[in-house]
Amino acid sequence: MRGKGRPFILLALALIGIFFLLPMLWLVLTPFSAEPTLAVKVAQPSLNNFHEVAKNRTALIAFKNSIILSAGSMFLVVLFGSLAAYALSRTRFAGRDTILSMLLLFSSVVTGVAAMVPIYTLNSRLHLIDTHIGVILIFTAGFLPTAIFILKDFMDGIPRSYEEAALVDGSSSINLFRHVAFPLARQGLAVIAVLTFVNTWSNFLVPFVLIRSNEKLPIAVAIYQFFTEVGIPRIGVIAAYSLLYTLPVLVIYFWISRRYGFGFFGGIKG
Amino acid sequence: MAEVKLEGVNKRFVDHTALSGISLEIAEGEFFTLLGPSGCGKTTALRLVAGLELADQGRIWIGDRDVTLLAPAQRRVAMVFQNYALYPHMSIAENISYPLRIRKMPKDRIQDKVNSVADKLYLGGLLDRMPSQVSGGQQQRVAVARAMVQDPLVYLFDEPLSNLDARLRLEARRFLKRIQRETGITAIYVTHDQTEAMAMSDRVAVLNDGRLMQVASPEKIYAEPANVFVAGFVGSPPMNLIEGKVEKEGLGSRFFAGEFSVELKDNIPLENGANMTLGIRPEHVFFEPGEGFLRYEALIDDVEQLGSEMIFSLSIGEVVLLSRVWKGHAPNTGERAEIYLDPSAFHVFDDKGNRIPCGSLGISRG
Repeated sequence: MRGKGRPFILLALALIGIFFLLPMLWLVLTPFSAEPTLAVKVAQPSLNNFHEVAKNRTALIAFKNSIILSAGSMFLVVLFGSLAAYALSRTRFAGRDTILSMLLLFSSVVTGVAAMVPIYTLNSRLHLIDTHIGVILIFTAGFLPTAIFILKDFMDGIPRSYEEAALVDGSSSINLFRHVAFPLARQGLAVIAVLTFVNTWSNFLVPFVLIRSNEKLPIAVAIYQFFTEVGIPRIGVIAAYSLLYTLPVLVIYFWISRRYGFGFFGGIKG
Repeated sequence: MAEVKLEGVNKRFVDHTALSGISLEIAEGEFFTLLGPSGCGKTTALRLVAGLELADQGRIWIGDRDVTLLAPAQRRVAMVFQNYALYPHMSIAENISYPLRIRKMPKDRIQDKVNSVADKLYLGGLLDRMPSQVSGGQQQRVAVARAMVQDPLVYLFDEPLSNLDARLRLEARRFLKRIQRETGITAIYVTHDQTEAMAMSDRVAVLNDGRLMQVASPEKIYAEPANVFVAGFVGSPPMNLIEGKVEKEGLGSRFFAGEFSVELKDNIPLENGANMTLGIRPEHVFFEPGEGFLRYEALIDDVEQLGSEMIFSLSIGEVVLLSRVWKGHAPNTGERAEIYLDPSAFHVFDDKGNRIPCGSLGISRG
């Protein structure tokens, strides 16, 4: 970029940046306004909105539900994803590569709109309608293929010599996984854990279809209620609730980033 | 400790045969080396004994047990890898104790064993560090410690010294040999470095291209190489190998290689016109006459000054010879000089490259 066009391009980029930044600013500032509007400013500083949220039992329970759904999915995806990825990485069998390519396609199918009727039917037959575990299983099934695909690549990057040393040291296959592969795949697992959490945290469709009772709804669905209570959206409270809603994701991101680092291709030292 | 036996072992990989027809008997407590160039199959053979590969044909015994189909964990062997393969996410102590922990040994016994092995290998204060925090030499000793702590029947070493710098390698070489002698455990050692093999082993098996070339003590391999490959592989600088033909004239025969020729006695079992390779080690090519030595005139092509010795490259016609002499009288590059060959040091190989035994009486001055 040089010369004449430059100032215009910079201007355009700045405008786009502001365009994206404004809603976030609104989200951060509005909860602290007593008279909230759609403008980006703090009208009358107060914490009233947060009090309203704290008083609302459904809101708090929804928070808990969201955590249950996302943490549960995260746990299952990491566990089964790592096992499957390890197996796919270390074994060779006819059709393995085909399976791998197909994995990538499956993910988008399971939690897409088109699959909702079959998913409802499936859960219904398994008596899993209106249960958390039903939703967790669907989330897991939806994200697992992508997770396996990514983790397999990561497992491929772990040198086999550690497993060979462990074999001669006397390990069984399970020991190999527990003591060598799983710990060494930490960074990839951390990425998958966060991705699963983030993807399921804001998922509206699946819990909307599968959960009937109000007290089991996660935030993504429950936040709807704040709209329809009186017919008039209570902007301040919604904003406050939304702000709180983003916190767990940020927490998880920073915690895992601190503890494990996000090094996909960083390799293993030592 | 136990003896190890391989019988008729073959191993093929997708595109090539790694080992064919390998049969070896390694005695209890022996330091046995598999020596050869890259790709000769020595590491494959070691991995077969470890159980990391499965033989296509043949059997493997450790002690009196046929272990051919057993998993590594069941063979009671311990292996030291070329890159050490220390578990990067475990401390030194955890690395060393790993084999004992997964065998569910009681914790206090593990503690004692780890400490005693660590002391023997001078790893005392390092037990809480991570592998990335210790030096290469220390990492290597940790790998050895992890093997020692298991009290195996056989030690398997896969080029454990090749990642160390030259000075460390010498120390580590003596160190490993001492450890093996003290524990008395059978050791199978793989290396491409012939000096290492010569210095450390009770016996050496030289491999090339998946086949055994010779199995003997280091002295015998050096003094009586079984074929041209072994002759040229062991020894630094390598043995001079002169390819030529035999000519029989009446009752006598001569070896010819261009301008170079040597008279052979009748008991050489080679026909007229047969190809033959004559070998003589550089340390047997002299600039001073000696009893029974053969005299030739040569052109000095190059001199390498190594401090304590000199390596000369000289030519007799088309035949190039290397000579290794200690400091002393030395002609210069470009000069002609008289050289003397000790006929009792000649090695004779037939057209297939195999050794023809001949005493000093087999060859005489031409």
